[in-house]
Amino acid sequence: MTPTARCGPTGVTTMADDPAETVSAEAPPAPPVTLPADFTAIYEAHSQPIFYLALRLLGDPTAAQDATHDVFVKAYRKLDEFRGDAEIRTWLYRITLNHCSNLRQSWSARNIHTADDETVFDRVGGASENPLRVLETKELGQRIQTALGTLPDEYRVLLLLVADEELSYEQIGQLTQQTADAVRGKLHRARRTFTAAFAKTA
Amino acid sequence: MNPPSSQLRQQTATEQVHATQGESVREFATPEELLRHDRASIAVPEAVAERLGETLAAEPPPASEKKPWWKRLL
Repeated sequence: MTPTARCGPTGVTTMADDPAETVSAEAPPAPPVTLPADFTAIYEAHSQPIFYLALRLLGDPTAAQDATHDVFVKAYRKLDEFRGDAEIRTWLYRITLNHCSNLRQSWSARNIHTADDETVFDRVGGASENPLRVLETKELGQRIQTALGTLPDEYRVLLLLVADEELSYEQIGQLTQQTADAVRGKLHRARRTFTAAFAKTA
Repeated sequence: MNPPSSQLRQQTATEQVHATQGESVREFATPEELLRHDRASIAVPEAVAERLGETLAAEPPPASEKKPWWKRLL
């Protein structure tokens, strides 16, 4: 690879969303959009967890896409400030948490609410003692989003961070500005609160 | 206490119906396991990478790539 060559993350090309649509044979396909070579690896390694965090914090896929884009733009601009004293995943999470927190505050100030899901969800047949015994349906994500939406912000953030197995309690503590022991204690309560909230979505 | 046999048959029948419909019952020990499963099913839309590429193409290179003029003479 020459220094000026660029590799895209996925060889992105323009594709029709509807399989019934056909690309015109006359128009040449658009060239794939590429990221700077030194940034591609960062995007490929971290975009999915960043997008997921933004999605579950904001509760809106479009807002999560915008947030993910903005987070990586910020990261690109501040790449020289990343001193390597923290894992890059932790650094990106910090940018994401701050970005999403600012967004939610502005939404709150403008009285913007994400749509509440009122769909009646499928129930697992029969009574179950474990509320986390679930039927895998396309509404599962909606149930999770609804349950997360009822939690205090701190509990929601802790659960989403601990779901990333690459993060240690110490790293989560750094991100949330508390000790690892405090993280453990609050996680215990966050798990109980989420489980109860999730059970109510059934 | 075991559920009455009729309820057990109903539960088993319900699970079989869901299984034939391509849906399965999963059980998670902790909320984070549930969230990990949820996360694994969600992909980043391609549009994000496309848009990011367009944005970064218009960005100046990161400061670390910029050399002071006097270094460029060396």
